[in-house]
Amino acid sequence: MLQQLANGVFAGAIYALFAIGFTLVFGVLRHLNLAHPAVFTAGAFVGIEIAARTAIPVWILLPVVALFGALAGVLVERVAFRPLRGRDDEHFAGLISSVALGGVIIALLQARYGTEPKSFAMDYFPQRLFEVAGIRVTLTQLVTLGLALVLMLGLAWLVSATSLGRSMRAVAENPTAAKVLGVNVGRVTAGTYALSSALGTVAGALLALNLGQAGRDLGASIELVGFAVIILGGLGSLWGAMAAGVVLGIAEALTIHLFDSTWKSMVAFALLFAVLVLRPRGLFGHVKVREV
Amino acid sequence: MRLKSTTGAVLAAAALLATGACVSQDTTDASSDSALSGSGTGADCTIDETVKIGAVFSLTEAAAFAGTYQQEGLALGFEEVNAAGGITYEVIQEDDKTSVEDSTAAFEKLIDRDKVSAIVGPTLSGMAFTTYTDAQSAGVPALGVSTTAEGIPEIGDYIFRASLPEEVALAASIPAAKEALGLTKVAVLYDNADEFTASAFNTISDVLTEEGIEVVAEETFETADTDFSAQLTSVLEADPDAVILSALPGATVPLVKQARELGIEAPIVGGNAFNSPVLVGALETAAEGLIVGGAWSAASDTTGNAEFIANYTEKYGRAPDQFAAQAYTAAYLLDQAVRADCDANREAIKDNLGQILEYDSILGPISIDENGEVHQEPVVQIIQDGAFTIL
Repeated sequence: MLQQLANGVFAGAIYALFAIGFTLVFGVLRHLNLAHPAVFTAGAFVGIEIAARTAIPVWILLPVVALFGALAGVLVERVAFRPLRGRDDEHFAGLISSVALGGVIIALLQARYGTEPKSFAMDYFPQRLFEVAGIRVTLTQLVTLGLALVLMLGLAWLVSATSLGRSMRAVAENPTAAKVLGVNVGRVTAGTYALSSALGTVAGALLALNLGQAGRDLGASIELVGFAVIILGGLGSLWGAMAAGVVLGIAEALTIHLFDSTWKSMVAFALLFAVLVLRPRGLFGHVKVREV
Repeated sequence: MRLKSTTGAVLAAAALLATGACVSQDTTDASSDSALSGSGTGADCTIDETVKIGAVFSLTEAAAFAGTYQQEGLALGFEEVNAAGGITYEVIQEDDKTSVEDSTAAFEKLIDRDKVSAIVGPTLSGMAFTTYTDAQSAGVPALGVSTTAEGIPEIGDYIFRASLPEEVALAASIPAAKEALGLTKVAVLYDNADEFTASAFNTISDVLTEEGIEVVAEETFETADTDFSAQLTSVLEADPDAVILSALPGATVPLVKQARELGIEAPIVGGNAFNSPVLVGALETAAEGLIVGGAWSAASDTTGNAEFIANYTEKYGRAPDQFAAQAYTAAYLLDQAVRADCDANREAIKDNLGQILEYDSILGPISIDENGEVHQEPVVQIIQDGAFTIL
């Protein structure tokens, strides 16, 4: 049972990492960036390719992947959202154009990497198994969990204590007022997308490392759970997304342990439904419309 | 225009009939195209007109891992058959993009527009259930090379398969593994969201009961799952002698890797999905000790197998797998059926395909009965030092 709780926490860390990137953009800009799962998948493939070509250690690989993600994020904003800025249907149109861009990204991945799943070489990352208080964890899982925590806390710090974070919160509160007060909204927007996609691509690479392989449907497989995490945690709430990721991860692991894998999605989405009915703003959502 | 239903195919056939004798071929009348029936028999058979064979495989999307091998295997097979002389086959290749709609459209195109003599494929059983109904009502023989689900040949007398059912492969690998490894208790892991793997699970349970092997853990997952740690934890706790796995190739690689990473060292016994060099390559060292039941082995010394592997590898730059081997065999089986009466009309192929007896192929002696079902001995292999070895 303890082992299953641990499994849930590890799965949840990835969910959370996927979700905070997504929720960050929503929290600051009210954009639902549906290209995020595709960027996540791209992170996995790019990570695998760089690892295979250069054999650089994971400590350097992940920042490189994050850099790629940041560039991809800026591109997503430029292509899918910026041209639509100021339109009456800006948010809805952006949602559709990001779906389209996501499709383009997946098609590009297929053109470059083919249809077969790709994986990190077995000896790329040391396979080590630890046993702590009867719980078996792999080194990959420990590193994933540690990195997820560091990234999440880092993001929280960035949003609360840096000038970029202050600008982001100002834009989240009221973009027009922020502009009047001298905040460079364009730069904040680009920065938010860069951060969000950097987190997304790192999460993708980490998931591929954990699962042993990545296919083009990697992002799609986590997308729905990711959305559930975001809503469960309260749209736009970073802490909520982190907590909800772990809650959903544990719920899934326990369902498989106690019942059957068939019930996994049912339990996860029943949980989501219950939260929506009982706490419409999610576990950590506040009455405030927007927050970071 | 895309005819959507079987009615469409029947209407098209009726239209062809209505236009009279000047139409070179129709779908039901065996004597319609004399150009497709030649002179001589067997190896001496000569047919002047090019014989068109349709092929529908999943070359892109989910099942492309199999479809691309099938396309290559079939092409190589027909290339060799053509080189033997007397009859020239032309393969018209269609991609069904792993979708039922595209598969149906491809069948209808091949049947109505290209007027092929027979169709090989599709890749997945799920598509075959729809497309074979069309082929059956249009009177076009269809030969499946990977459609292993229960009930496929029963669709009709025009439907055949040269693909060993998963049940037969698994049923053979369990006793072989028991004998080689002395199994007494096993864990069973299977995909219960897929019809094909779920039906294989029933066979596994029956064989395990017959063999007196205890099941200490039984875990399920779904086709799209990628994280198996919860299931594998239960397997680990049950400490089985071996793990019996019924999964599609997509789930197999991450599942086996995660099992090894979590410290499950027991041998893993599987069916057709394991039987691929791509899979062994992707698993790297985690592939060691996998036990695989299948229709074909690179290690078999069946007739022509070594040449097949050499030619295939030279032509395509990668080693063949079971999908390629079965598609390759299909070319020879169709050629056999055509040569039997030296007649490449649909009716003749249908009549003769169901009478192939102990044909000596790279899969070993293979028979197709009048119901369209294949009969052959499964091969049980173990992966040692990264290579398939017969167990």
